[in-house]
Amino acid sequence: MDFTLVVTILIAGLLTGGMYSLIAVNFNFQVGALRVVNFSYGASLMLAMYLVFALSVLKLPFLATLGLVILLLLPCYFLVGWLLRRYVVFTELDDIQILLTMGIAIFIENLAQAIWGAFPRTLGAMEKGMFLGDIYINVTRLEVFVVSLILLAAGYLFLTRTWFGRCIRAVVQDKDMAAVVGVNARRVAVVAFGISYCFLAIGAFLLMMFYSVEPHTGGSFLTMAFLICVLGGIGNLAGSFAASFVIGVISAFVSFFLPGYHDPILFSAFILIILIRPSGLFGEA
Amino acid sequence: MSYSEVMTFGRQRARSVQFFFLGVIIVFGLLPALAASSWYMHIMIMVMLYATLSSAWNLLGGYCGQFSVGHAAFFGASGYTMGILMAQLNLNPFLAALVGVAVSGALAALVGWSCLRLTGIFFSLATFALAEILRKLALFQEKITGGPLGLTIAFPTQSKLSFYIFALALMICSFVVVFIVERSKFGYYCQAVRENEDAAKAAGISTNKVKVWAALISAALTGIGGAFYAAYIGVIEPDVVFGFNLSIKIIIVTIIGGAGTLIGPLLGAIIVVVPDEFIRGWLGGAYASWSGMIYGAMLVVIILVRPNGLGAFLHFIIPAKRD
Repeated sequence: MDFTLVVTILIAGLLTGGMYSLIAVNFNFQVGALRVVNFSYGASLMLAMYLVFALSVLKLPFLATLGLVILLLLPCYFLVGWLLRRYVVFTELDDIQILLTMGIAIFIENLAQAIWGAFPRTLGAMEKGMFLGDIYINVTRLEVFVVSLILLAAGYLFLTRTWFGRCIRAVVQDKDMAAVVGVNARRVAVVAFGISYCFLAIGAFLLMMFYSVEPHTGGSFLTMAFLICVLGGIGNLAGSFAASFVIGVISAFVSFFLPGYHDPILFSAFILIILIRPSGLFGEA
Repeated sequence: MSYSEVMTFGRQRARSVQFFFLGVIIVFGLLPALAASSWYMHIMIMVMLYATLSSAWNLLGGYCGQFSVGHAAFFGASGYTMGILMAQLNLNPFLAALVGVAVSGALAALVGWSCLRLTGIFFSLATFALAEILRKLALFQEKITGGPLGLTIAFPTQSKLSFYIFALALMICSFVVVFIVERSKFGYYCQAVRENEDAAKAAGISTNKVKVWAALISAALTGIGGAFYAAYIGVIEPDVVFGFNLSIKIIIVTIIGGAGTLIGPLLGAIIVVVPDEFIRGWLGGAYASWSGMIYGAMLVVIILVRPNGLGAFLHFIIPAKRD
């Protein structure tokens, strides 16, 4: 096994990890901050990807497409958000939450299948690549990687430097105490949820640059997000950021050397992780 | 409003249960005579299959409170084991089915062992991942499983009536199992684990043993259902038998009928499966996703409006005998 091959795979893995990080950190934000284990997350992502695909026919400029996707997804997010806010957010993490979000997931998945059919769709764009010496770098993924990192940095600054970001963190830490100092916990939760879904739409947009989408796409991203989430610690955003790179690299090596066993190996790792460190992971950030 | 609170509703009592059994046997026993067309027979077979699967899930999820969202794993594992053994080793179909059920049971022992440590949402996630692992394995091991196109199973008999009778026997068998469990000490242990595991432990119940046994019985029943499905339909595809949709459909059937009740699964199966099969039959398989949308929406509505399921209605119609 030669050196350049390893480096190439390593770089590919890191790039994939960067892409996962946006999705997983966002998911972890929902789990940790809003106490929602959102099974419809993957399905929502898949729907957003389909919308990007559908809008690509119009050949709009980059930002206009993104804006339209966010706008078109609003009713869907509104519904999901309303249901979650009404019945789930800040309640105990129990089975009703799983059932409710799963019902939504099944609905979205079948909706997508009814509209676009079961076979995979892509934007049809070629992935750009370049060689640095003997090392291959996928430029499209590199661009996506950079945009993801910028977005995450923006999210981080928002959470730490703005008044509203502080409100969110205050509610996460102690929602009663936050209420005492005049933070409307429910409103904060709703806005935080909305922001999280905007991130999801952007994530979907970036994914469509080089992924194909089919109705089952959501499931694998959801499982990936879960895996990264438990590896990095639930509610621990920095942890899941680091974990997504670990998973990205592992994923790249596994899919190169053992293609076909990619998901089984990673999902088994997921089961092992939650077996070794079970419910204790549900601590605060 | 916690889920376990909700599920304490609608406990069946002796008299109504006897009538229920009698009614089920008479109605379903007479139906093939009335339904001349094999299409209606097919719908009834599917209803009975889902009633069985849902009863099986009910044991673990409804009575014991271990919320599995990967029951498709047991369903598919048994079907695939049966199919592979028949195709590769030319094994007798019934023997192959038996091995399949055993494999499901072994898988359940694994899952049961994992529930010892995992609680609540983590258990759900682990079962979800298990079904996904098996689905991907089945998809990519094309030489053995036939890949995405699925595995064909040549079962010797193809007579609808014999499948019907077998499905009826299966369903009644599962009801009897649930009935026995419900009234046995073990059933009470299960419910104690569901209501409050720590309290159950404090009361001297070996909660680990209870959970493993509940998982085993549940998975074995699901495995029988899976083998039956494989023999009846003749083709098993990874996305169908290991699919998330199947796991969810089993749960939806149970929840709509009323989880933690004996009659719930049958009621739910009739409400969910009959329209589903009609949509498939009338509009064609391409419209199957519409029924998927409907039952997704149904689940959301039921959870919000009447989380204890429709079985609780019947509880008021048939007054409970206090014993």
